[in-house]
Amino acid sequence: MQRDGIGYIFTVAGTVCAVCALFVSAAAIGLKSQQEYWVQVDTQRNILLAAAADDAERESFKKMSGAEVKDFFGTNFRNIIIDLETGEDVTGEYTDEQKVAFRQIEVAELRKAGQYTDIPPAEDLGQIKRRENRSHVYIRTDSTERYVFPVRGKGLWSTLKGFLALQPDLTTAAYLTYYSHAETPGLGGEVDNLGWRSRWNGKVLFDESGDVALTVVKGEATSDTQVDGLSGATITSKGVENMLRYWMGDQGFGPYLSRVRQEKL
Amino acid sequence: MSSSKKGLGSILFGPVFDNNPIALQMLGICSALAVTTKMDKSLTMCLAVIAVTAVSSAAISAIRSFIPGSIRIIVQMTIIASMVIIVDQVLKAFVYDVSKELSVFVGLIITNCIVMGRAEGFAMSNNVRDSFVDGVGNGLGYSVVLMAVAFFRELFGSWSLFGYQLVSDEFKREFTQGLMLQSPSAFFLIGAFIWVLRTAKPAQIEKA
Repeated sequence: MQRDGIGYIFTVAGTVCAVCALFVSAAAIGLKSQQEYWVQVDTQRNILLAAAADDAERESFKKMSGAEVKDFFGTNFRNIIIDLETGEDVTGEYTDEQKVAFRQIEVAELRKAGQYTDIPPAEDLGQIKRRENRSHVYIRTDSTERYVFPVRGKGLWSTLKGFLALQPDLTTAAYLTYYSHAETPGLGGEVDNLGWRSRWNGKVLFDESGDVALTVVKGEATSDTQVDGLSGATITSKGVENMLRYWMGDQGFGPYLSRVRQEKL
Repeated sequence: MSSSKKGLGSILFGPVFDNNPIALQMLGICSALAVTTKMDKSLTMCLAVIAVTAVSSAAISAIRSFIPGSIRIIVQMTIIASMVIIVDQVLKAFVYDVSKELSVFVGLIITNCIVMGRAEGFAMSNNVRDSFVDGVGNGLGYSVVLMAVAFFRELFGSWSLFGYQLVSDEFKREFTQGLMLQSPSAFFLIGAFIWVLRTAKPAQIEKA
């Protein structure tokens, strides 16, 4: 065949594409289980960081190997799935394998299964547009009891995704950590700042009637329901406040929280 | 290019100092700014670039006599892009934390001019073995600059090397150079690297 003929060009292009596609798919499929292992370790490590008793323990969690993280998570945490609307624990409907595979943030998958609700714009404090019907809750069950909730919402540039840990009274915060965001480094990006994160410890998120009372303020926080905002990052701070108001409110984990508080009485 | 006469040694080490892709040809500077705040991050990036240049050069060289001239760039891009995806997948599977920090920059190796430059400038006219070695060599040339930049940025920006802190916390608070963690510092350092290199090898100085 002639080297510059149209047919020849198409044959070469097609062959190159097919061979490359073969290699790429082989790599993607062959490495999938290994990659998922690390994604799991990463998620669990972030939950551990949120649920740590103090900074010293947090440091030790950071240094743990993948296997240690999985082991610690497996023995000291109870991972449940709840129905957000009713607050009911529906973990029984899932096998262990399905429970691990249940990923609430993968909108495309949830949409296929019809497991999400559109949020009316007026109620959409976190600006996330749609919310999954069911969510993970991670409960640390050893001597340090913690309830860890996945939260997400919009800051200035990006959707911040993270975990909020509550004390066993389910009213007081313990820690707030974000594992994914793209806020301005040095300003909104300071949500990663360890000092700011630990300021959440002991903050009271609810008033006596159980409504969300938390505010992120400029300047000094003067009460237990106020948290110092990040300087130079008004919109990110506001975003954090709004997303916590949403997720701790009736649309989010509110029903579950009141249910567990009742059970604890 | 009559590099078939060149020995393997000069193909391998030529690009490191004599014909450095960053310092002499000014290619691939973009990623040198982004991934050099920490040495472990840079090292991973360097290995990724070496793997991509070497394997894609070898693959392109192997089929060079079959590639029609009119679509040669597209064919090269396809092979390079596939190799980059494979490397990215491997990083995600084995060094997850580092790959998370490198994020898009691994994917952007596709647009790294060094890879494309070697494919078009060398692999298309040389045999597989030489092309592979040339790819490794140019990857090394890139790596030398990257690691040198990362060394100074991590040392003066965080007072650590490969994540091991070298000084006391107090010293660190007192003397940390915030500028070193910002991208512009990489420009200064690459500039200094080129200065040193051209002082040592005056032949590289361009005529004004």
